[in-house]
Amino acid sequence: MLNITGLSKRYGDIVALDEFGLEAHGGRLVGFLGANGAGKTTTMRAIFGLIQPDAGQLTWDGNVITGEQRRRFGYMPEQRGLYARIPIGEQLEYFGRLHGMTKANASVAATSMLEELGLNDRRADKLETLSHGNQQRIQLGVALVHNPDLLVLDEPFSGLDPVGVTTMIEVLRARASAGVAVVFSSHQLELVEDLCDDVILISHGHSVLHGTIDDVRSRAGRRVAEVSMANGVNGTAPEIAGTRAELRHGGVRYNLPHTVTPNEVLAALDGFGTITAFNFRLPSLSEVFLSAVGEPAVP
Amino acid sequence: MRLAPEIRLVAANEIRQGVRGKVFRIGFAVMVLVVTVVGALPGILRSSGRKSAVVAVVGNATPPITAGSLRITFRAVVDRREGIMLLKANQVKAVVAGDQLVVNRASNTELRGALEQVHQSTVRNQRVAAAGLSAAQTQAVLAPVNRLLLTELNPDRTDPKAVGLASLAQILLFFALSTFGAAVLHGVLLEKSSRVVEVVLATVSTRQLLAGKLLGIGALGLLQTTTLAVIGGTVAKVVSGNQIPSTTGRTTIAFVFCFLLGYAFYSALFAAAGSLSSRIEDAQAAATPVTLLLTVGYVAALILAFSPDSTAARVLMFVPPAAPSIAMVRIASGHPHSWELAISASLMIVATLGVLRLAARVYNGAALRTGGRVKLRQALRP
Repeated sequence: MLNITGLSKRYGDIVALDEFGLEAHGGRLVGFLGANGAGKTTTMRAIFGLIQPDAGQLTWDGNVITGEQRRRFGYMPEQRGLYARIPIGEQLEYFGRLHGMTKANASVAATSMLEELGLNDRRADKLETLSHGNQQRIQLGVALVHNPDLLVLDEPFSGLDPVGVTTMIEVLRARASAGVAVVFSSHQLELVEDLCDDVILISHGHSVLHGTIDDVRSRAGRRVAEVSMANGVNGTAPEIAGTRAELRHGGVRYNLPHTVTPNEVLAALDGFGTITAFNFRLPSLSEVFLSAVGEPAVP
Repeated sequence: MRLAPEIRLVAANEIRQGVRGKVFRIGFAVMVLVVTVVGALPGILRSSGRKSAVVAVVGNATPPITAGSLRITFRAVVDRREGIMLLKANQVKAVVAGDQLVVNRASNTELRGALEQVHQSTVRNQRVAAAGLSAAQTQAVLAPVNRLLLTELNPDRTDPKAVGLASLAQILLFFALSTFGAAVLHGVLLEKSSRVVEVVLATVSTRQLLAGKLLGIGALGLLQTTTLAVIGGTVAKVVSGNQIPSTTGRTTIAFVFCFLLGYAFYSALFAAAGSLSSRIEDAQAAATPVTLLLTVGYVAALILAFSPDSTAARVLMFVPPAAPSIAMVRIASGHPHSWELAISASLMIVATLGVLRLAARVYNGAALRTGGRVKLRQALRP
């Protein structure tokens, strides 16, 4: 299990991380959410020793993470990049060996990874001759070739077409099913909601919300009421518990405190039109994100 | 000492990438061609410098003589007219008939001088014989006079051949340090600009990556340069026979020694310069002070190759950036004391360790900062 506690990092006057904490268990997918500049990449770099935090502790299975342990982790940074002029098979082998595999094992692992990625027939081709999508696959392959215990991916869905997204989802699910702890950041919140077991939301360097998807949604302290009305709202829709209505396609939508009940909403709207549909639910992850961070997920 | 497996892996990857590159292969082929020509040139020039001439002589032919680089053989003719016929037919270069010399043009002063000497000596012999001296008296009169015995109070101990070889080795050293320093610069820049450095640094430490990179490119550089030196030396030996300078052995050892120390020092600086940049233009600008430092040492060594034991050379051998170049020419063509070499090497090793440490710190602080050029102060900030 990856456990991060009290992680802090400043760059001059800028606070990148402020007492940040995170947990990732084997076999679970963790969505790491936050706006740009919130501290996601800094956290990931700290896991791999790429930056020296000012304070905090990073452990794996209770032990402080060492260089040796890091070789059992897989990393796909946001800024992709590999050796353009090295054949892809050789490239996977090289990274396998850097992760501590023997030459023979790395060669076998590279072959099976290329098969998994559907690129075995291109083993001898240089990376630069592959399409952008296939280069992305090799980048994923480099993170996976040594069968890591922990997989950390920074924006893995960025730049992928729908087929690529599907492949990536399958790969991540398969790894989690095999017991790997998977942490990834993404701005595609609906996808995170579908895919992840746990989620952590970071804002300005500190943790805002964390837990299972359902926990986070219910602990957000909000409820969403969506009301459809025949012929629209008569007059101005009323405020409920100090919350203004948002007009939506012939109806209204409220983002309410969790203390408000469905009956109170229906009572408040009595006399403002004929209600044709009523939905009272927990907020979606995207709605939780927006109300917690106060800014859109996608810049 | 056993290298960490990560360092060996990175070094092997650098060697594979280096050998695979077209620039390396074409550059190496061109250099092989150049050293072959340079190695063969002295021999070719020397052999083409040996000249010969046939001279017609009226009466009995005398045995061939050698004057400087000119070998003269004599061909007996019956009279002056026969000799002139041969001269006109270009079969002889001159005709000697008694005290007369006939040539096509008087411009060949070397031949004229040699024939004049032969003529003077022959006439002197004939006069001595005519004086009726005995054989012993003749021999005593004509015996060569001893030349003045020369004593030098302040001899120039510099062997021109050794100076030539030292200069050549010095040029090769500068070429090797510049070429492989630039390879380090580009390698670091390429890894940074292609962003692969973040993936690599997630598995190995900055120091391991830097050490592997420097070792791999350095090994390739040493192999390539010594191969070139061996090819050049072998060609020179084959073409020029025994004209290889006696200082070749120590020059070779000095070259390897100076390359290793110079490469470690300068490649670390080139690596730091490369890590501060994300574009080739920025990298070249960042590397300018390093290139300047290398060039100053090179030019100083080239000048001091003619006075390798001068005060300037002795002092500069203790100044680390210039030490490899100066030591190269001093060992190859001068007479440095062993204590001077020991102090110079020690200072160079200490300076190199300091530079490696600094380069690792700069590399660590700058490798993941992409975008524009990173300032040295920013890179050194924790």
